[in-house]
Amino acid sequence: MKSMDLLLNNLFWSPVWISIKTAIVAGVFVIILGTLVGYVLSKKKFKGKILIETILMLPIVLPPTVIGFFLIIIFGQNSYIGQFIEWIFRQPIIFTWWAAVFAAIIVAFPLMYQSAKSGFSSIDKSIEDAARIDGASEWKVFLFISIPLASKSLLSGSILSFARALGEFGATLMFAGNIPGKTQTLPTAIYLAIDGGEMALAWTWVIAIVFISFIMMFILQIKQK
Amino acid sequence: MPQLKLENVSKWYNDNVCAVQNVSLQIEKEEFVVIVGPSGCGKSTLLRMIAGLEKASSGKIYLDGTCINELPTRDRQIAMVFQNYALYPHMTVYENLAFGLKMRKIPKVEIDKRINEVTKNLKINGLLNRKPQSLSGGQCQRVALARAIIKKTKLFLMDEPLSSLDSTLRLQMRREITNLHNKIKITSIYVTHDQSEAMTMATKLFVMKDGVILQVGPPMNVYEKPNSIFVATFLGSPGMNILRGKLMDDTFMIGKSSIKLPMDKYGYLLEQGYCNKELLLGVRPEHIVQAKDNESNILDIKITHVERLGDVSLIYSFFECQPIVAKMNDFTMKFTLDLDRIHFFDPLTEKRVDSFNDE
Repeated sequence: MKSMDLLLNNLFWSPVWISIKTAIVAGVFVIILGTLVGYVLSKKKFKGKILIETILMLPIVLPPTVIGFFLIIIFGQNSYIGQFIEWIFRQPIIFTWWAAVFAAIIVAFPLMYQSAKSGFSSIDKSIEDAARIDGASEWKVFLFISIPLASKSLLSGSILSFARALGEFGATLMFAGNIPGKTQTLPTAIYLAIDGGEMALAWTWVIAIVFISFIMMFILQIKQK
Repeated sequence: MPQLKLENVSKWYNDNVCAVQNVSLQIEKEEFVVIVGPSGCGKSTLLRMIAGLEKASSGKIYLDGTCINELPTRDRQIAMVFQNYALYPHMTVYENLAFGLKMRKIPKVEIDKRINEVTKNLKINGLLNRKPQSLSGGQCQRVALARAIIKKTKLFLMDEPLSSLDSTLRLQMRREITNLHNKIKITSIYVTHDQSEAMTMATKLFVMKDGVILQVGPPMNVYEKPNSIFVATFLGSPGMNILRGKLMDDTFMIGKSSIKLPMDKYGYLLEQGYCNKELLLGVRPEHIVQAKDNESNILDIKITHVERLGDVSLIYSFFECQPIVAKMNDFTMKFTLDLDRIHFFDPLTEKRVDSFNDE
């Protein structure tokens, strides 16, 4: 009965919605940006390309605290960028919901970019050339040939990066904080619940995030067959 | 006016690797041109520059008198068949054929009409709803051809289109492409490393090596009067035999053997100052023939290996320690050269030097 109460309780739903909302908005950004960057880097050769590719992949291996640290340094109130943002929006980005979105974008981007790049690289170049010969502009080649042919990689990249955005913890905690109803996502809420000894609440949240993650991974497995 | 004209076209990669070097050529309307050469000779790069898939580093390309160097591929009015077919794997045969027409904003009624016509012609009308992965190699090749001719373009490019087919199918498609060309008369450029494809299909042949076009002409002309050792040995199956020797007045000495030459063969060479000089004698395998009883130039040949092909046999042997291949119907033990069909090449320039009036 107690758990039923919990399910109807705003206390339970708030971090669930914030997490899903954050992951969806971050996911949309990451999917579009990762696909475009992956496409460009799979096709173009230029000086310093390896350096850029290395930097783009760094968030995968860096500890989330390091990412949080950099986010605070770059966008905090003491930096020019941070002051610029504050001047435009009349408030700092740090400790807002957008900060959570931003942290999620940074950690999820490499997964999308990497999948997209390997998907686009594996396309037989002569198929894209054939489309050019058939009169397609570069944009139409991208839309009608490259995207459909890389669709499996793009889908798996999308799901992985969405799942990563949903599970983001360290950088979010540092950059967006843990404000209930505002920036408190599922992972931070679970951490706090356990810390406060509220095991029943922690359980329901754990079940919720495992459920969502399981569904996404399940879809991924089916689609990759 | 030639349909396609190339003026000193070159292609450099990274400023130091030259794939195509100062190629100039002209292709007339309705010709079926074959560019033949070993792999890596730059023939595909040349074709891709004509298609606009690669940019020429220098030189000019004209289509119907207009310079198309800066024209993007999509606006060039060309069709192309690729080595691996390059069909769109996620589309049905119908969609593959319709794609280029849709891109050119041709109305659906016209698209259906053309698809109907072309697929009947190439006998693939039963495959319209199939995806490429469910088709055989030959069917894919037909779809690729259909996709190219359906657009009714000015120029038809083919990049080794038959090299991934098995040999029976290759012979069949070779004939079909020739028939198709006779029917629709579209100006075609066909790139291949297969000299027999080149010989049988071309109305005009370009032999290419190391980024340079070595010889141009009707296939039989090039075959019978190769201008260099490379062309002589590349064309023909097997290619021309080359024997090193020395010209002594009317006699060509190969090792200890001597071949007495007819006046028309040695006269010109003597005039050119080749007396007592090293020369290379070229003779095609089919021009090594059975010696008649009164023949004076009998070759003392040591046979090492015989390949029986059914209709003819290839006789691999050594003559004065130099390898030589003969192609004969009847197996014989007495060989001589058909002296009317031999050629001489300069060992330094590797150019043919025996005649002055065949260009």
